[in-house]
Amino acid sequence: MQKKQNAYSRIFFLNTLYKLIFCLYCLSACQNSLADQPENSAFKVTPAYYHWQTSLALSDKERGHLDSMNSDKLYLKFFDIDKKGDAKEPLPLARLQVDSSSYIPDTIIPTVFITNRSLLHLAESEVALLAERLYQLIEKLSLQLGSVHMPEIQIDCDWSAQTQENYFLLLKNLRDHHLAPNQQLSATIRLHQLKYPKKTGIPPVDRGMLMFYNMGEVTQWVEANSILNLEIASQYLVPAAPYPIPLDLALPLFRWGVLFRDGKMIKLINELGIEQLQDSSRFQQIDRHHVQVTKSTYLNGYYLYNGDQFRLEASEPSDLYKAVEMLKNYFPRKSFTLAYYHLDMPILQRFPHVVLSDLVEQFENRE
Amino acid sequence: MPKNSNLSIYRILRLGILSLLLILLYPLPSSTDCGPVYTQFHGYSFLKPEIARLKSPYAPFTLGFAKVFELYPGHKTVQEQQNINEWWERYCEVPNKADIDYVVYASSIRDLNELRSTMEGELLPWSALGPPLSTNSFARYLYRYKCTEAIDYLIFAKQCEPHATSRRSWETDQKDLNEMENLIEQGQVLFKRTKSEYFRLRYVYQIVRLAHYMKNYRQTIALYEYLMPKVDNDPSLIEYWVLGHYAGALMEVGQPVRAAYLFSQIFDKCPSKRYSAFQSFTIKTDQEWEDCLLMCKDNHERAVLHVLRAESQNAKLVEEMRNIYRYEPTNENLELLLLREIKRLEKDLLGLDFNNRRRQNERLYNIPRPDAGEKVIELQKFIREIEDDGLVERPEIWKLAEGYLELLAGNYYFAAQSFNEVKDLTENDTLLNQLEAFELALQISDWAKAESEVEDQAAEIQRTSEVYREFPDFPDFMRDKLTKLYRESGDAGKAFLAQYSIRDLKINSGERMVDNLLEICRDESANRFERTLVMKPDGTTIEEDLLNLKTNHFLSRGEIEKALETFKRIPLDNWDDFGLFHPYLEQIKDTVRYSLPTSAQIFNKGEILQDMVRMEYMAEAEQDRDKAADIYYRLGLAFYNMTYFGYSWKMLDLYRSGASMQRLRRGSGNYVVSHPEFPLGNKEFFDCSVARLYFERARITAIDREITAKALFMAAKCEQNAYFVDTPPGTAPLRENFALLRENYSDTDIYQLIRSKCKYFEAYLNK
Repeated sequence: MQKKQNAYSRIFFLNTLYKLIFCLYCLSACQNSLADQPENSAFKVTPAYYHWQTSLALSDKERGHLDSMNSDKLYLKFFDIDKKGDAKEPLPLARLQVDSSSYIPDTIIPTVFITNRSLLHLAESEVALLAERLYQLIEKLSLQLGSVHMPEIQIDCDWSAQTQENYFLLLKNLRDHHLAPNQQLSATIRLHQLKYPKKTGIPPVDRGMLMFYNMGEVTQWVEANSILNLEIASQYLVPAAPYPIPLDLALPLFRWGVLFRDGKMIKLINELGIEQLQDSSRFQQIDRHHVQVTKSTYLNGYYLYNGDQFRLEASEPSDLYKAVEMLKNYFPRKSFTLAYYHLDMPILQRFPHVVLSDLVEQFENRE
Repeated sequence: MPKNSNLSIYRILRLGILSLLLILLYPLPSSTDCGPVYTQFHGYSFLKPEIARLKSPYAPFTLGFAKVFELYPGHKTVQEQQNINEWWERYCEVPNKADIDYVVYASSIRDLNELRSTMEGELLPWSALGPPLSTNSFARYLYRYKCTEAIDYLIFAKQCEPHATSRRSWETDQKDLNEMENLIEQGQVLFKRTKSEYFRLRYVYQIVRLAHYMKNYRQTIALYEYLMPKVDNDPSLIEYWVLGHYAGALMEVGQPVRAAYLFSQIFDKCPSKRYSAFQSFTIKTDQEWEDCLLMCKDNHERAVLHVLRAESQNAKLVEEMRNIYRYEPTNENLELLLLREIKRLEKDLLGLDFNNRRRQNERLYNIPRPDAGEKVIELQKFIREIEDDGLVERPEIWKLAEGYLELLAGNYYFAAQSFNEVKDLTENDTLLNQLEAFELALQISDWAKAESEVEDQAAEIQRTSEVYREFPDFPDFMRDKLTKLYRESGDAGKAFLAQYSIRDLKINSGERMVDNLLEICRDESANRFERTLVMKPDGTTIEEDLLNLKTNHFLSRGEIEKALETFKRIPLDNWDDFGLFHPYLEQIKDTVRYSLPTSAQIFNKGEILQDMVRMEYMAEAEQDRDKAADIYYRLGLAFYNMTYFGYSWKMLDLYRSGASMQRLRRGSGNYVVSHPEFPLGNKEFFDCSVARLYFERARITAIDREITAKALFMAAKCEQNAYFVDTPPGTAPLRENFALLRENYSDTDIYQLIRSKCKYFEAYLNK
């Protein structure tokens, strides 16, 4: 009888335990689900950076900046893919080289840029081969990074109507056959792709990264600021229909000088600012954003001729605040990554971390 | 006279083949497989790169013309060829160059080891070597003269090669630094052991290159500076190859000016490394540039620095040419840069006032550049200074350029003067051929009016001028010029045919054009050029095609008698050539793909017109109102079926596109829709108003309610088509005829038939 009672109590105990475990499991699953899709609840905006140079050797100052931002996520360009000249197939270029003695953030998102011409005239089997090679090369190059977390792989391509099919096939192939089960695939999304998803197609990826820059007509002298032209951007964000896949956001930090000769845009000089064009014996300032070369001269390795003109374009903190204001309503109240383009000390010097942190908070604290 | 369709199959086939032939033979606007390309720059060029001294080693580089690049092999091939040439010269020009190529570039280390063993008698005689070495004249030479140092060097070079070749592939490019270091040591041993100064130099090259690729820049510099003084070689291109690695290392260790100077020397003296030297030549500041100039030993070297600067794609060439000329008036790059600058100006200005795609060039390519005129003046000024100085080697080139610039600037009188002067300065065939092309461009440019004399000249040029045929842009140049002149003189038809083909005219013909061209066809005193314009490849004129088009113009407006009168001017025997039709078909239900029943009788256009004229008279004279109404109804069917919406649309049109309704700007009143294949668009016959008029006549005349009902229905189709094409999007359709049909004729048999077959009507009723 005692045995029987013991047996009953054991059964009761196990039964209760199972029920408890089941309830805890359900609760935990429910919580996980809420964490994934926290619409109208607590959500997190993760600050991150792009690293677009070939060599990864972060300085102490860059590390300090990342620490101040509480950011350990880096979208790291691993290589480009292009099909140049008489090349028979698309090939990797500008492969990443890592100085393993320097600081490497914990979370690395390998990023690969693909030119449209790489995707033209490829048979299905060639696309599959490209996906395989691409992933293998990421794996090989990632060995330089040591032990890092790579939860996502990002492909950057401004696909066109001619390349859409092959590009989407490549993405699908990567996701279905190569990525690890715990890895996500993301793709960059330009503004025109955001506005016309039916026309341009929706890439078969887990997430999209909205590139909120390079939106103006850089080749036109009359353009005010092609890096961040909010007037143009507003045309792409209306109506505020949600994009069919979850989006992260990339905001620009860079600046450049757009060089015009004989009325034609001929070059972009990265990180050129008005302070570098103060020599009045060579340059004449037309206004805050336009400068004329008055004497042929070298500048940062480029030879400029008398008569050349610069338009100076930059992403300014005030513009970024306006951009965030504009995008606040567009981005649903869900967790996403806010990635700054790009991580480089001269650029970061123009943007104190408090500004960049504040932008993240602007998203997090919105009503 | 109806004909059985079976009998006409032969005629249709004949007509089809004839049409196909005509389409193939007629000049079509420039197009690609996917239709005309309107996004490319459209201009003309008569500048012949061959007038420059193409033997100059700078030519493919400095001139930058796509055509010149075609004439030259790629940079890597130049490097290999020059290397093979040097081996060939070193070996008394005895071995075959292809055999040297094989041994140097294709043979394996194993091949070379076997050759080495054979030389030393370790293997059996020469014949024991397998092909291809056994049949290789260079290998034979090395064997005969026991050139063991050459073989040893080649074996060593092949060991180094994998470490020095950048792999453009998906494999990871990990260098084996230990192996490279071993090879550097091994190379130094071999260097010391080798007696031939030529091979000692080549060992230095291999050693220094390995150190450079290992990124041991200080070691690269040290090896170069230690080993090179120990080589007492004859001049060799390898010296510059080594120098390139030395300069590259200097750049890395913070000596950019010295590196830039050395790269300029390589650029100047070593064609096989010219491209890489240009790419590596870097100056960052004005101070570096000044320091580099100070390093130069003479004015030639200073001029070379400016040549390098002129090479960049968007360099201001006149400024650089002035600098080069200041240092070295005889520098061979001056001519090449002159041609490059003229090429740019030619693109800007040649034929600018009649280029029919000028706006597109401006919009898409910013051509002409806003200050192209000033650039011509700037270059003219420089040329005149050069001519005054008399220091250049070939003044005739500069005089020719001066004349062409006058032509580009529109100063035709002075251009002619300069061209005349060139004739006294040269007997060079290439230059005289270029001169002839320039003079022809001048002649065409100078035409002011589309008068008979000009047309005679045009015909003569087409018939006899060799340069006209030699330069592919001349036909277009002349055509565009004449088009402009014709437009100015109001000759719409000539302007059209000067530019397009009769097929394009058939797709979208204007009445003025057709009348203008008919006059030419009938004009017995027409000049040769005019006759060419209206001539078909078979020697006949396009008069009958024009008459057919004119007939269509009348017919589309419902002017049957005028249409018949016009068509009758085509010989009766040829009437079938313009198609066979069955326009009286009654179709309640429209279908996309429709073919005539085999029993249907078909007629040519002349017969249909005769029939329609007769019917119109009969209808007016007919006392029986239902019979008259029936005739009007048949006429209505004929007119309806000839429109875009009918089965006999080919009566009025050569081409119909199913996509035209999408392309049409609704409500604009313009029925010419854009089409990728037709530059002037595709005119569709959307207008059903004539058909509707006859259906309404039938409705009003008829007593029989069945006739009235079907006339109402057809009028409703016309009404609906007018709604589709003539009202702006968003406008509510008018359904007056459907309403009348529903309200008054629902008891008729035809009503039930319509209701069962026409989905539009069914939808209307269900609304």
